[in-house]
Parts: sequence; C-alpha cells; structure tokens
Amino acid sequence: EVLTMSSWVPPTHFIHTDFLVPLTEKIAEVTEGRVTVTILPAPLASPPQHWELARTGVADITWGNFTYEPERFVSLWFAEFPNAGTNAEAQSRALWQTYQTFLADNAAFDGVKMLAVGMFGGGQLHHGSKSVTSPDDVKNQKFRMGGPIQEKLLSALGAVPVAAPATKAYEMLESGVIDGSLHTMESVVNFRLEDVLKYHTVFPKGFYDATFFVVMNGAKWDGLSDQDKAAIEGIIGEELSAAWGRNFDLQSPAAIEKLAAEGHEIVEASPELVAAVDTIYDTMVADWIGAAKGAGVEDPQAMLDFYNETYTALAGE
Amino acid sequence: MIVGSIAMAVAILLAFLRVPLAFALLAVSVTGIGFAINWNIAFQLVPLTISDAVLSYDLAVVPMFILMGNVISKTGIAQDLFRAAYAFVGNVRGGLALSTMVACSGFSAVCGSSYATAATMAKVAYPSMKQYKYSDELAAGTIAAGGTLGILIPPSIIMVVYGILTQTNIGDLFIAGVVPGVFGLALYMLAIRFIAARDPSHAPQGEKTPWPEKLKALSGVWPFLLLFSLIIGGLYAKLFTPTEAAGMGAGLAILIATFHGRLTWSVLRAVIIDTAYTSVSLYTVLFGALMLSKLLTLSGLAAGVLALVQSTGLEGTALVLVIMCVFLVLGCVMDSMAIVLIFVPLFAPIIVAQGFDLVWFGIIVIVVTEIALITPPVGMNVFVLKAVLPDVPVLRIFKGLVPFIAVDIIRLAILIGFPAITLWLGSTVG
Amino acid sequence: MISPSHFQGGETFMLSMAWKIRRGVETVMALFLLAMVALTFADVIGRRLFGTPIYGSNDITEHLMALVVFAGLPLVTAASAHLTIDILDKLVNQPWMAWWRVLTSILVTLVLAMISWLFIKHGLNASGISEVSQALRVPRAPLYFFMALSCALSALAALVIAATGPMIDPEDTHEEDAL
Ligand code: NA
Ligand code: NA
Repeated sequence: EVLTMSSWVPPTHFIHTDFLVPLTEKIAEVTEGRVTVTILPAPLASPPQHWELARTGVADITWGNFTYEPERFVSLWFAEFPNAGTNAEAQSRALWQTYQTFLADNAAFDGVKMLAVGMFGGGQLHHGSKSVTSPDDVKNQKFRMGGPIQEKLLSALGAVPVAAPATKAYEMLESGVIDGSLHTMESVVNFRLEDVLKYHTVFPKGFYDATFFVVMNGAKWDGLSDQDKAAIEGIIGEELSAAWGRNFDLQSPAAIEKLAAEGHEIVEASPELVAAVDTIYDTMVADWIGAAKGAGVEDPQAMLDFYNETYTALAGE
Repeated sequence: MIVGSIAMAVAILLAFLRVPLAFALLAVSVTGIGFAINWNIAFQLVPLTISDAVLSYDLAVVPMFILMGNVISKTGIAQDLFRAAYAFVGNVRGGLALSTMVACSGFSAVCGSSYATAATMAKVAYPSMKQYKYSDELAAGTIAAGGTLGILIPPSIIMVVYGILTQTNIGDLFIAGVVPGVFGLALYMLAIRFIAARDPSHAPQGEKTPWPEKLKALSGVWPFLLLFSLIIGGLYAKLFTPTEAAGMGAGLAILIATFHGRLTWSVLRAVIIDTAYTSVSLYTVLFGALMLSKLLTLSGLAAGVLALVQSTGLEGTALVLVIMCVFLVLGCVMDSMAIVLIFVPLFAPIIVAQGFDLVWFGIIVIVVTEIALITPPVGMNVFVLKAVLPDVPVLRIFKGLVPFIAVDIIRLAILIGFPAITLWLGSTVG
Repeated sequence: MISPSHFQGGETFMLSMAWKIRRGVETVMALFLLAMVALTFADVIGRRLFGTPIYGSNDITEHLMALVVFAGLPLVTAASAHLTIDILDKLVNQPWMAWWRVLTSILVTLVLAMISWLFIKHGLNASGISEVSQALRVPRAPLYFFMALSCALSALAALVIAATGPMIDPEDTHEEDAL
C-alpha cells in the first residue's frame, strides 16, 4: 500500500526533514515495507485545507494547525491560550492524553485517524524596532498574528492585530504593515526574520501556543490489514506527539542562542505585563467554557484542569 | 506518468482546436486525475483549487495592475512621455523610433501588460513616425518590440502568474525585472541605430527641439514620475507589498486622470468593466492551470520528467538552454500566458532540483515569452498592432521585427550566462 | 454603453432583458473593483499616516475579488471572451468543422455544470464544518453557493450562445490585454 502525504512547508524545513521523513521511514520499517508513504512534491491545497484533504481522502496523510480553521475545533482552543507552558514535548504528550480522554469521540474529529497532536512550546512577542516589556509598550502596536485566540489576546492588550500567515511576516514588517509579529523563537530564525525582528519579549509560561494535528484518512486507515494497523499503532499516538514536541524543544534554545549572538535584545515581560495577560487569560477561559460546551465537550473545566495537571507532571514543574 | 503525458498532449491539442484554454485545462486535468488516481480526488480538488485561487490576496494584484494600465492608457501619460522623449532624442537619425522605445519602456514601468503597451504606443507614436516618413517596418517593429518590455519591466501581470504558480515572491520578481528590462531597452536602441545607419531611408532625420520646449515637454511627465516613483520606488524601498502598490497605483492613476480632466465617469466605467472581463478570463484560465499542476503532482509526471531529464545527463546552463529552446519553439505558435500556465509548473521542479534560483528562471522565462510575442506565425503583439494599424501588412511588421528578435536572443543568452545581472538589484535590497 | 443597434427595434423581450441584466451586473462588478482600490488606498494611507490599518482588509479584498470573478464569469462566457489560442481559427471556422464547434460548446457547458455541482457540495460541506474566513470569520458557505450559481448561469450561457452566437457589444470588444 502506498499512501500519499501532503505537506505545506518547504522540504528544507525541520518539520519535513526531522519529523515527516522519519515518520514515513518508521511506517515503512514497522510494516516491513508493506505500507509506504510518498510525500508529494507540492501541497495539494492551502494550509487551512489540510484537515479536509485528509478527511475527504484527497491526500492520505496530512498535518496542520487546528486553528487555521478558526471555528471548527473550538474544543482545543484552551491549549492555545496564554500560560500553556514552554516544554513542547510535555505539552504535546499532555495534549494527546487530553484528546484521548475527552475528545476522541467528539464529532469534530470524525472521519480521520488521529496520528498525533502537538504544540510548540510557547509563542512569544517580537518587535522590529523597540523593546516591549510593559503593558504600555504593547498598546497601539500592530502585530501580525493568526487565529481567534491571538486576536482576542492582542486586542485585549490594546494592540492592533493584523491577520496574516507567518510566511508574509517579512514582507509586512519591511513595508511597515506591522510593527511586530507573534512567533516561537524557532520560527523567527526559520522564517528568516532576524533582520526585521530584533526585540524579543519572553513570557515565562508562554504568551500563546498553537495546536497541531497529524491525521490520516479514516477509510484508508480502516482498509489497512490488522497486522499493519497494529504495527503502526506502536509508533503513533503519544510517542509521535512527543516526537513532534521534541523537535521544537531542540529548535528553540538554538534559536535563542543565535539571536543573542547577533545582538538581539531578549527580555522577560514585566510582572505588570504578565499580570495583564493573566487577567485576559481568566476571561478567555470563562468565555471558552461556554463555547466548548456548545462544541460538545461535557466538562471543559475538567478537561483544562486535566491538561494542566498532566503537563505540570510531565514537565516536572 | 503515462496518463499525465497523455493529458498534457490532449490539453494542448484541444487548446489549439479553439477550446477555450481554461476549459481545455480543467476538463483534461479532472479526467486525468480521475483516471490516474480516482474520481473522488479529482472532484474534491476542483472546488478546493478554485477557492484557494480566487481567495488569494496575492492574486488580487492582477486586476488592480490591469486597471492601472487601462486607466493610464486613457490618461495621456503615453503622449506626455513620447513628447518628452522626442524633445531630447528626436533630432538624431532614427530619433523618433528611439523616442518611441524610451516611451515604451517608461509606459511599461507603470503598465503590467505588453498588449496595452503596444496598443497605446501604436496610437501615440505611429502617426508621428508616419508623418516623418519612417518605413512601416521600422515604425511597427519598434512599437511591437517596445511593447514586449511591458511584461519584463515591472509591474507585470505575467510575473504575478509565474509567482503564484511557482510560489516565488512577486516583489522579488518585480525587482529582478528592472535591470534586464533596461538592458533590453539599450539593446533595442542599438538595433534601431543599426537599422538607421545601414539604410537611412528607414528613418529620416527629425527636427531639433529648442531648450525651452524641451523643458516644457519634460515638465509634462510629472504624472508619470509620480506613479513610477510610487510603484517601483515603493516596491524597492519596501513601502508596500505588490498588491498594495497595485491598489495605490490604480487609485492614483484614477485621481491623476480625473485631475487632468481626461476621465469621465462613463470612460472610467468602461475601463473598469474592461478590466473586470480581462481579470475574469485570466482567473478562469489560472484555475485550469492550477488544476493541471495538481495532475502533474499526483500523476507523477513532474517527477517523471525530472527523472527523464536526469537520465539524459544534461545539467546546469546547458539544460536551461535546452529548456529555453523548447520555450522559443513553443513561443512561435503559442500565446505567452498559455506557455507560462502550462509549461512552467512542469519545468520549475527541474530548475529547483538543479539548484537554480526560481526568481532568475522567472525572468528568463519572461524574456522568452517576450520573444514569443513578436515571433511568427503567432505574435500577439503584432496582431494587437495590426488591429490598431489595419493598413500595415502583417508580413511587413514581422520583417521589421527581425533585428529586434536578434538582439532579444543575444539578451537571453547573456541573461542565462550571467545570472548576476538579474539577481544583483534584488541583492541590494535589505 | 448603449445597446448595440442590431439588438434594438423588433428584437425579443428576452434579449433586451439579457442586455439589461448584463449592464446591471457590469456596474456591480465595476463598483466592487473600485471598492478594492479604495480599500487598499484607505488601508495604506491609514496605516502610514495614522497608524490605524483596517482590520481584515486583506480578507475583504479576497471576498471582493471572488465576487468580481464569479459575477463576471457568466458575462465573459456569454460574450465568448475566454482566452483561446486562435492560430487554427481558419481550420476550425470552416463549415465542415461545425460539429467540432458544437462539441466545444458542450464541453464548456459540461465543465461549468460540473464545477457548479461541486461547489454546491462544497458549500454544504462548508456549512457543516463551520468554514469561515481567516480574519473576519465570514462564513464561506454562502460564497460557495454564489460560485455554484454563477457557474450554473455560465453553463446556461455557454449553451445558449452555442445556438445564438456570442453576446458581443460592438462598442467594446473586450480585447484580451492581460499580457
Ligand atoms: Na510593466
Ligand atoms: Na510567437
């Protein structure tokens, strides 16, 4: 059986080289070559369509970001709120367990076989021309961001959110469309934004986060032999999720080192700014609990608590 | 791979038999994917591909640049440019043709289309050249060749399409077109000097313009300078993204034209509707091309051609030369846009695999499609010119184009041999 | 633009209605395109001079563009203004090739009808999965239904002009000038 995989990062990106390629190799290995995966030379649709590509069987395996579809996966929003943590491996494991315990039967995830979920270890705030530490520093500054949660967060802080994909950040920063942008430390380096983002504000528990999926078409999965399914089960799930997180955990310290060596200013957010974000966090959680109930989650608070406890235990914090 | 090859062949055949290109590509891609992979995938991909394209902000640059070019062609900016150029170089032998060429390149810098450039300049410059007894060969050849600069000197609609198909940064492509465009202008002017020197009957001497009139003519080009510095200056200085530059350019062109009293609502309405029609047909054909590239991806044809090329052992510059020869032959009988839409997705992966720069390749491709616009039997610029100047026989226009095609080939060879010419300007930005 | 003379006088009510509709849709398209230009202008000026960009301006531009393209598709189809390679026109226009021209029209009609049907399904799916735009979270389903309607009308137009000839305005030939 040859499965197709659609991916939307260039083949030089670490998600391609250090995560997707090893995954295809492992699948071939554990099935003794009975199941192989071809990564297509070009993505079959835009990044937000990648869940649908797998669900409808246009591609067999895809990966993507849950909130690229802003209203579809409300149940997972909590993991993109501030204070979700900075250890991506622990986050991704915790999110997998949360998904298994609370969401695996939720209708939003029908039609696909979830291979892994992942997070990226805390996004931070980056600015092109000035140091941002206090709540006043953030006000009226234009930040590129994506998704409903980052928009709410920035608006609540008095900043001006500008919606655009991260790939557009360079052009927008250069042309003054935005003053700053939200990224992980790693993506500042991987999107080559070092020249245009010189000031980095670190929130100790993460300013925001992102949730990712690796999925396979449900019917294609069901069509595999029991032997192959069992073999693949051994390398997906929490283990694959952890591998996702580990990649980000490897990238971020290297990125921080590189940026510091280039003379960038990397500072912690002031206690006032952290407190302001905490207040917004509380409102976000309260709003989300209602929305998540509407999305079929019985006890959203219990799910959030479960995630936090699991993360804390795994991260050893 | 086999289905992919058959599909490509059928698509081209249908297109030549006058099936609208968009529908030839759509029908063939859907059927091809249906047979080669499965019908569910073929049917799912149609709405996904179309909605991705139509909801692309990058692609929205297209109608705005078309609108800007269309408005500008009604604003008299072309006349102003031509008058100013003539005031300075009109008195040398071949001066009118030289001024036409300069005005063509100036107009190209604010217009994204070669057709619009050729058609506008034909109306502006041809009567003067006729009046001064220039030969039809030189007059029409100059305008048809000068018009091709429209797609190389930014802005350029075809560059946007190339950028969308290959996921190359459109701003980088625009900046990269500047030096090869100016180089093209220089070579065209040399060609005119050569023609005028060899047979003076082609280009009688013009009159000398006194200095006060020179200055007066020069002062007429401020609307052009304003637009030019806004668009190219703004793009180079990274003040705007390309889509914003297009929107600002279109808006400013409308304001300038209104200020000059050259634009009434009914003219504006007609211009905008014309723009809309052109945009719609361009978008539709792009839907087809994007579906075709999905077929190339899924059927393994792209990978197959890559393997085939690798098996020939052809590499580096030699390989690019071969690809360009293929494009030149295609360019004789195919429309420039069709070439880019159908063949760029097929060849781009090979270029990437060879380690070449896609921006550089884009400029080379644009130069080839420029040549396609003026080579017989199908030279779209010649036909545009023919529509504006019904009295000039097509054969005579093609004859007049021979020296220009010759310098075009020289330019193409130099640009292939020295990628730095194309990539230098971009490297000075940021 | 005035109605072309050969459609005036004793021509049918249907035809004059068709022209009225076409003029109306053209004006709407023109306004959408103007709105795109105005929006970009306002966004850039607002951002450069006052530091206040318009939230979701890209999103609005994308929607306007989709509306322009799919409002125009039936008109372009009716005017037979799609990009074609016409090198073999002399061959295709010969009387004995009439069957091929009919076949071509049928192919165009079928492709448009297929796209229309696929966009109906796509729209139904989009409302099922709450597909919305990135910044302003405008629901996508109505847009997809609009596209489906546009393609259906275009299919109809392709079929009708196969019999009647293209709906060409002699004052405005809409020459292809995109290159
Ligand atoms: Na141009
Ligand atoms: Na040609």
